[in-house]
Amino acid sequence: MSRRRGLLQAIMGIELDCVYRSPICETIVAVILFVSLVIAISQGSAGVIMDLSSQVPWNTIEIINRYYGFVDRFAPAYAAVLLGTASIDVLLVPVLTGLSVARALEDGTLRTLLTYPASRSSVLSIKLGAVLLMTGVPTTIASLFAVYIFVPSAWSLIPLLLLTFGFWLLILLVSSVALLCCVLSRRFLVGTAGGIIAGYGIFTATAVPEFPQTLGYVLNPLMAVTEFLSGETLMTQSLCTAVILTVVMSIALFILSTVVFGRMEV
Amino acid sequence: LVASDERILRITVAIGITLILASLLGSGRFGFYYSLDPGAYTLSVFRATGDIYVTASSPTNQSFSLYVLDSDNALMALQDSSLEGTVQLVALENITQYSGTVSIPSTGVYAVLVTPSGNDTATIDVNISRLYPVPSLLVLGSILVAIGLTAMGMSHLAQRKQETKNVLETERTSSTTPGTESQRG
Repeated sequence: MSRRRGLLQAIMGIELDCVYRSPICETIVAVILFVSLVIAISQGSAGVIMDLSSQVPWNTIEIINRYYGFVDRFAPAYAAVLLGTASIDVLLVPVLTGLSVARALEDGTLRTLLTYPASRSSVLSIKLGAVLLMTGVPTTIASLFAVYIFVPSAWSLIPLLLLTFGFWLLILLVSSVALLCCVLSRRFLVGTAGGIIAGYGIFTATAVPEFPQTLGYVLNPLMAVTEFLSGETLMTQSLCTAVILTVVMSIALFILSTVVFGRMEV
Repeated sequence: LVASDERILRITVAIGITLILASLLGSGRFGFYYSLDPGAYTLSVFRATGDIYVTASSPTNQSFSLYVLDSDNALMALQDSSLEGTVQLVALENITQYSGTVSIPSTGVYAVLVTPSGNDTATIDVNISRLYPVPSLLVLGSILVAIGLTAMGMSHLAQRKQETKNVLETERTSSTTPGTESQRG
């Protein structure tokens, strides 16, 4: 068990040194942090104006609700920052997947990696995991930090966890699509372009009002969680269904990628 | 330093520089322009991460009152429909214009309340802007950059010292070796 763990750690080390070498990693962190801060600043700069007449008492339900609606904005601001930063991640994830898989196929690094006594599916899992870590961790931490600094409000754990989960599901889906594009095409440019078109297509199409809503929730779980938390249209059961379908779709895409990769001559 | 430590330091410096840049971003202006009847109030609620700069004026030169409250006192005022019993950070009465920095004790939600002082309808223009750079981000960014650069500098210095020491050691060894002496001779 420990030997297997050591082996996987060694492969992960090679992956980090080869694909995420300096300054790629530093640039990713800096860009994501900067974008998160910019969106959080715009969220924190908003204000609310209330007309308080001398004839009517100020403590009407509408005014008090507007006040609390403005004060308790941590989760909506976090959702806005995540959605904004996700628009960069859906471009970044296919590029990183392309560098990690298709470029490694082109320059022969993958052949060296496959000399390790690890299955091809393990190698592919590590590559996918590295892409998720490299984009998901900076985005989550930077978004929380930016909202904490610029949108000071009371916060509760459940909405934050739900939003974070929705975001991770979105990048899991995009990375699975990009992975399939890369193993099918075996070319960096083609695989990355396919991943970007698919990832960005998913992200933008689901934001269009004419797009079928149910499919939109499955393809963009972050949007589904945001709608659910706003409490307007989405019910708990629909959210669960959307989330399960997203997970199933991502796993199916990954399994398909491993099957194609397993039969491939490297 | 190990290569991974060096990378962590580089990421620290990158984060620090990003924070410094973000602390200088020029946005966060918020304001309103209202015509108010006597006895009516306008409450403007906003978020502040540091001191704010407030400018208020009446284009028609009518007098008005301006109050700045924290979130608890703003809520108290709303619930009681009155400013009585509230603690104000700034209370300016019967003014026609004001511009100045309001010191904010801690980050959070604050409110500006304006009302005409006289018996006529008054037009009031209020602007609230954040002061730059944002102190918390600037300080944190500078600390991270300083820590990262110092640690990297010290590491390079130590590495150089070690290299010099190794070279001297090699030279000393080669000069005391008999075989080397004879080769030189």
